Amino acid sequence: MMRPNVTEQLAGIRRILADVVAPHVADPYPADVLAGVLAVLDTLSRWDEIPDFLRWDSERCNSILAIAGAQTVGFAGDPLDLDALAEHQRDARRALEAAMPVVLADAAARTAMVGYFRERCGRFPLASTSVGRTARVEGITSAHTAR
Amino acid sequence: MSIADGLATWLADETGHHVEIQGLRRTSNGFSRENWVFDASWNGEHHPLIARRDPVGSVLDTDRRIETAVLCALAHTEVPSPVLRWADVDGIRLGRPALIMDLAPGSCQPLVLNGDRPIEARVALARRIYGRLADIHLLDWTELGLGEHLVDPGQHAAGAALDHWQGELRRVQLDPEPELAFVLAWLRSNAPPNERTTLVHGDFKPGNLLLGDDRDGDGDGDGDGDGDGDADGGGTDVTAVLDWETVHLGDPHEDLGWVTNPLRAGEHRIAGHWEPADLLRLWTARTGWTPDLDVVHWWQVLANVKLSIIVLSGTHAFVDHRLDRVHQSPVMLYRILLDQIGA
Repeated sequence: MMRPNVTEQLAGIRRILADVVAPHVADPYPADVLAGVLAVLDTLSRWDEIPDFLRWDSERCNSILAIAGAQTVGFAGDPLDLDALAEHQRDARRALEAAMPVVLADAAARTAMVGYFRERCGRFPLASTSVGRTARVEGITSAHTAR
Repeated sequence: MSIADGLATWLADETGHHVEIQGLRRTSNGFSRENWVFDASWNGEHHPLIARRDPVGSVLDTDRRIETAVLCALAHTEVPSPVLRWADVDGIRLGRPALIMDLAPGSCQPLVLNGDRPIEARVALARRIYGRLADIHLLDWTELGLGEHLVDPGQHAAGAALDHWQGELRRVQLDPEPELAFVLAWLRSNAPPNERTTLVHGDFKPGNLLLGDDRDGDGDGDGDGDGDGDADGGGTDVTAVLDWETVHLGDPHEDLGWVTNPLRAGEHRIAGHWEPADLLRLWTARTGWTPDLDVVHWWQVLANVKLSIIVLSGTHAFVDHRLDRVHQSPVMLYRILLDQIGA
């Protein structure tokens, strides 16, 4: 069903770029950009975790808002609609951001929020595992620091 | 018009001669500016030059007028900096603001302190590098006339920096970032007063320096071949401090926080040999000023907030098809920030 699936296609595209294209990219700038693209393709392998992550993210924000006595954000969309899930998650995170003074004034809510922030770092499905990473592919190297 | 044609026309207007552009290539260095290296010939002379043009999309939006004023002022100091030839701050010549500078001698080695030179040579080099940072802080910016171009935040340097970066966050964020709201609240409630306004480079690091070549090949450049780097002959030194685009007036602790940021240890530290305490001791010996470690820590936290916002700026530019690099969420920086503020 749906073969090659998304995971297989991403892995295949990465292999083609690394094995077929990269060895023939000699100019420094495009070679550097290509190394960055390959590193990012690695991070997309967890794409299928996104719907569950969005649901988890929204629920955790709402639970903190509830502890702080702030207004929570309801969801009336289709649970299989990715855009609706993303919009709900954005609304919930925005509500948490807006409620920051209230949350900080409530010790239990603050503790819950810090716990949420820390857990979210581990669960986040679309990020590299390090901030300053180096991608080395077929002789091209790119240091992808934040600046 | 191609960039080669644009450069030839621009330089011809400036020099009054027909100009040939050769070997034009975009280097991979730099995420915030386009760097175009080329040789220009006019009147029978060859000139290796670099054009730095604002990109369509960048991780940083800064003002070329300020950078130009600072580069001109630095030409009259002992801080080695690029020689600015021409500036087009309005972007008339190449479509976007651009500066043309002499291609300074030396090489850019971002991880030089943890490279393959002997340890003594690397420590000696570290002392030279961070001595230059102290030199920048010691510049008399009023004497250099920079008060006309830069705003002195006085004792409110920390608050001014927070205002600036919160404004940048509002400008670039595509999604809510409650983690940053949390850390910014901590920074706001702990902002230290500034006791001394200096020139602040804003992005001082080995990757923003050019280093001269070793003369004896042993890595320390002292000419005696023993690699101890202790010599009197100068040795490998900083030939230019680059990337002045984030320069401003403020608290020198800001640069100290930037270069002692634990996240950037791979660039600034040599484990067991050149630690932040060594750097701060050197800075004190050079400037005569004693850093406040709590204030340094505050600026270390802001350093990672800045990096987070720079990443978000890159995300924004990528989504708008203005940047050729993918910047994903800075969630890993958020974990570091939580550790830094003890949350």
